[in-house]
Amino acid sequence: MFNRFNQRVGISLTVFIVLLAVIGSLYTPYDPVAQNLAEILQPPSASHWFGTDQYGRDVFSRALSSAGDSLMISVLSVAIATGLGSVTGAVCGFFGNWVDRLVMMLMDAYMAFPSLLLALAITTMIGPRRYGVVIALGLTYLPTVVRVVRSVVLSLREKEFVEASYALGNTSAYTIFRHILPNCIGPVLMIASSLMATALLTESALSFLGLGIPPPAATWGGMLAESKLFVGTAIWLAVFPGLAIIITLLGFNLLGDALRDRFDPRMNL
Amino acid sequence: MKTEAEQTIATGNGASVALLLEISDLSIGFFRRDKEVQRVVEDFSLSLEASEIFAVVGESGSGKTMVARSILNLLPTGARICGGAIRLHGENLLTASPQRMREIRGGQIGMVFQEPMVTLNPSLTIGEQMAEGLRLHTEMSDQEIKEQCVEMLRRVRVPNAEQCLSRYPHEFSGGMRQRILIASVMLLKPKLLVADEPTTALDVCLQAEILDLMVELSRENQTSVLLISHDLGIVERYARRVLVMQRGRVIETGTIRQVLSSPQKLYTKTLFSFLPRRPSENHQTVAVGEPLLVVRNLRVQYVKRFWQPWRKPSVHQVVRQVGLTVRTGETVAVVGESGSGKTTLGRAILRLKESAAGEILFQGENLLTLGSRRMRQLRRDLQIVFQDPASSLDPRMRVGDIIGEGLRHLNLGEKERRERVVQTIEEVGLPPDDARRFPHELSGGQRQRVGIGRAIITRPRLIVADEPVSALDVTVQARILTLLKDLQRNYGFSYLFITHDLGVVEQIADRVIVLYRGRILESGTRDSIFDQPQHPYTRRLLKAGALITGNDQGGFSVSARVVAETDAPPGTKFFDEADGEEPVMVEIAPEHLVACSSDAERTEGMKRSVSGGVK
Repeated sequence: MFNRFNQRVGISLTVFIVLLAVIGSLYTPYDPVAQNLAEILQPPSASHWFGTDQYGRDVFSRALSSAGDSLMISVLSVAIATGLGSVTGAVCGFFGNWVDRLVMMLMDAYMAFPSLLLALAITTMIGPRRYGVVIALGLTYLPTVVRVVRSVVLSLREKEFVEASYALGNTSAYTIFRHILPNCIGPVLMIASSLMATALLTESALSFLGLGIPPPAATWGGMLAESKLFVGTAIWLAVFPGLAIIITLLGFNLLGDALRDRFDPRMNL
Repeated sequence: MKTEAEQTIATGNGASVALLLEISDLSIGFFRRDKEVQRVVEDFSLSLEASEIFAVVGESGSGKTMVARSILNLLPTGARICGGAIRLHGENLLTASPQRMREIRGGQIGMVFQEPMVTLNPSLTIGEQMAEGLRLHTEMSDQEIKEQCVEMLRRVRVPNAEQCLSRYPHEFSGGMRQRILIASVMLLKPKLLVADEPTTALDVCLQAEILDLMVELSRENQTSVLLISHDLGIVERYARRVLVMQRGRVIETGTIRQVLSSPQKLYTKTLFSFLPRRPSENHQTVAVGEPLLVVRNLRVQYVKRFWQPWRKPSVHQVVRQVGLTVRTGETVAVVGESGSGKTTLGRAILRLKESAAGEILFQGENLLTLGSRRMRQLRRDLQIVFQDPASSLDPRMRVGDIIGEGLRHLNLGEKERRERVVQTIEEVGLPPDDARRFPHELSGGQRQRVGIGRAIITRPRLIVADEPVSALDVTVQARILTLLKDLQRNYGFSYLFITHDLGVVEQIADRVIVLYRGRILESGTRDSIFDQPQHPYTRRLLKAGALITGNDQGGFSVSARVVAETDAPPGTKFFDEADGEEPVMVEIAPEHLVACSSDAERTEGMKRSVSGGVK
């Protein structure tokens, strides 16, 4: 019962955010980048629902127009991390030979760097471009996914249904894709939804350092980062992008749970 | 509190026939949000006298474990007692305060659990775990506690008792762990010992040893034992009275002899009749065809390499020089304790494990030298049924997909495939609707049927059945064995049947191979192995198991198997590992081979005399 309710909330929130993103790309009440120095740091009002920022830009319009980029960045970077990471982790865990040792050594070295630093390094190499951020974040989260999937696969490969698959004459590749990876969906969805959150926030840090999506285009993380200076005087600058991030994450997390339940036959009671 | 406890004991012992434990009208149900969803025990009553051994038998799900746990108030979450009383020396345990219960647990009622592998805490030394109870329930000094522990460990015959205390559970085998567990429970001299399937996870030979020990200790301390078991052989050997449970209800109770020899209730009769026995009708060996599988000198080893390049890799031989033949349409059983390498042997034959040396000829082709493509083609003729139906079925696939997976490699059209799946589901005795269900929605027996369906759908020639019924209840076990036999009759499969259960072997096998630590010690037809076992190990194995025979009144009697102690013929020497030489298989009677010492002269002498004597 409760579960069903959670699923509904998750799906509605996600649909809502995606709808906002679509609307934001088509129409905003004000031009999100137009500065209006006569109306700087206005609190929320009927004309500016979310108030204005230090350049007099309408926060509502900016939040709306940046929804698309924010979503794109978090979804795509997590998709890269989980896609590449699951296959790498599954192959490593399944064969457990020298390839596994080599990859794991690389991943450990990789993980030794703070993720922000790593993302910084990668974005610097690619340059502050829209997809640069996505790739950088995706690669940064790769080791986490590889580690988790590998550990799941290590226990899965000892299960007899893997042996049964061989006994039927299936190849290793088929066994991995048919029997191993589908059984990793639960844990993968779990990390995916928590990585989404981290991706949004890391992106804001990158924006703050000038390596995110190039200004004046906005992202929620970027807006949040910019608002730091005005937290004492103009709290709405932080509140609304923050709320947007929270709602998105809540939506994704609940959706992740719902998907996991959907894909796990044991949960369909 | 302490004195009060002692008083209760004193009055309890004072009565002439002291009732130690009295359970009356106990009911236990499972609750979800304060609503009862399932009744697992209903109106259960039992009375246990002091120093009595009382057995509770039943299938899984009959509620016997629930009763055992309720005595200690250790029910799993969701389960609650809905009525009745449990009295220990007249004191109602259901109304006792939590503090009082803690005193009683361990102090007056000890419990031995089924899985010795998980009931000891892996991160505490044996000494620490054993001392725990004494520290809680007595006021001994550390030195005294240590002495007591060592003495107790000696008592249960754990070698090097003193060093033992500072070692960790993983350094011991399952049998040793169960001894340690019993030692630590008996250390507190409880009035009642609740043993929930204490030896089910152990080998037959070990089972008897451990139980003997447990009974000995409880006699010494005048401890009553409530033995929960599904094994009638064990129950008959140790218990005086027995209680049969089904679906949470008491079906029948009485002395063991009475219940066994003339069971009153239909359920008891059926339960007993499902016990594996040698078929009474004269078993004709199936018209055996040409050899299908010939294994010669197979060796499987585990090599552990160290990261230091100068250390030699350690090699552990699991299967040594094994040779066997399986003919078309026959069932060859491989028996052995755990660790004998029987599972590895089965896997190696199917090339699911790598072999170090030897030959596996399947229809004349040596599997070990085949390329992977040809091997995959051949796999449709070589199938396997696993022991654990829970882990051998992919939890994310539907039953129909699992069963039909093997058809990928056969050139069949979509329609033919679907028909074959439907047909197979029917053949293994599942309702057609089950094709759309997931494995977790099925019971253990049904899952094993799915496993069998997956194996037979390609119409293989050889099926390796690795303990296919060990995880199942006797009644289900009997049905699965019948299913396997029927399928063999219809399709002419050969089975390599791997098991540790002699009862099952007796029921299903045409020929038997006895495996011990990776070597074949004896092989022969079923009757020759069971009736004229030669090697001392085979005899020991047979003696450990119980023999179940039916009587005229529809009842049964269980007895220890009588193994003829024929002296080894003069001048012979059976193979003994301690000699440090490899054995030679000697044919002492047609098709009956025994591992003998490789000393050529002695062996020759034996061959003559024994084959003369047995025939």
